[in-house]
Amino acid sequence: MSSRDYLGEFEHIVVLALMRLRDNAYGVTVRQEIATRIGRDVSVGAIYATLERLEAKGYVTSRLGEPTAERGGRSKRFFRVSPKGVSAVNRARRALLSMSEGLNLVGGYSWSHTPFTRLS
Amino acid sequence: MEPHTFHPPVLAVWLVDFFIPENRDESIQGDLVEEFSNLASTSGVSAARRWYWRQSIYSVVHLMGTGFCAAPWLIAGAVLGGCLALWFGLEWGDLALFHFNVDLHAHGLRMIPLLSGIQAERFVVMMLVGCLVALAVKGREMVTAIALSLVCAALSGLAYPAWTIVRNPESALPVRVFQLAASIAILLGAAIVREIRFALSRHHHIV
Repeated sequence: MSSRDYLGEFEHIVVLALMRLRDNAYGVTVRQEIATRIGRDVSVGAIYATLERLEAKGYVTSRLGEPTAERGGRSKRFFRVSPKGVSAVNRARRALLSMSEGLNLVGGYSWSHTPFTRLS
Repeated sequence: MEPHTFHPPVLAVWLVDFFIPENRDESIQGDLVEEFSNLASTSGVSAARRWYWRQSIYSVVHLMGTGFCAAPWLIAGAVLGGCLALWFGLEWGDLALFHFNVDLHAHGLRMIPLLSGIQAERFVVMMLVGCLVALAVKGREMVTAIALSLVCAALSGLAYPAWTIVRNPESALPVRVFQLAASIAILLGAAIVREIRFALSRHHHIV
């Protein structure tokens, strides 16, 4: 498996937003979903750059909607997660769970458990 | 007031149109206009305009950056080719003007307002090189043209004026202004090719 098969942090967030939004996933709603859920205000350009990368990897498909007056006669581009994208999310989730298993993340991480303990 | 009666800043719309590839332009502009209209009706037009400007600049910078990262070698090759084409083009352009016995330094022949004959010739050559570079990189015309403009500005905009200041301090400012205009000529050339490509693809799509 090449490094391109893994989802980056922001890619992971965008794919999860698409899965939540189902048939209403386009630039504006994805941006709002991310802002509402995790409080991260990202630019429209950042969303589209990520979606294009995900589309190139085959994790996402897109289709153009009808032009609407509220958008100045421009179409929406709707995105949907492909089966390959769902597999990638599951793989990333399993990897995160596996890596975090046994760590005390709720009560705060203790530095004394690492090989880089402070000398003082 | 209906939401669609609010109009986003014309210059910001143009900025997005100019720099963002046409395959993403419609959906990005549509999203920006939709959010702008919603924001204008809830928070006021001034806040919405500020938001639109911020989003446009961030989006252009972000998409340019990712455009470069997606094909760095192609863009670097096109920039290198563009530099060589500029070198040859400017040399041959100057020689052609001298061949026709145009005493440019003495008379300052004005082909384009504010530019002397040799500057106009160089402006046209740089625009043509911008066209050539854009022809070589389909879909990444503007990011490549910006990279070439920056390289040209770095090479000639800093080195050449420094040399001129040593030789003739009075001419340093005009040279600096000309270098800026010449960098814009590369962008103009690339934009012309991009627009022609866009018009042709739209025509094919309609047919």
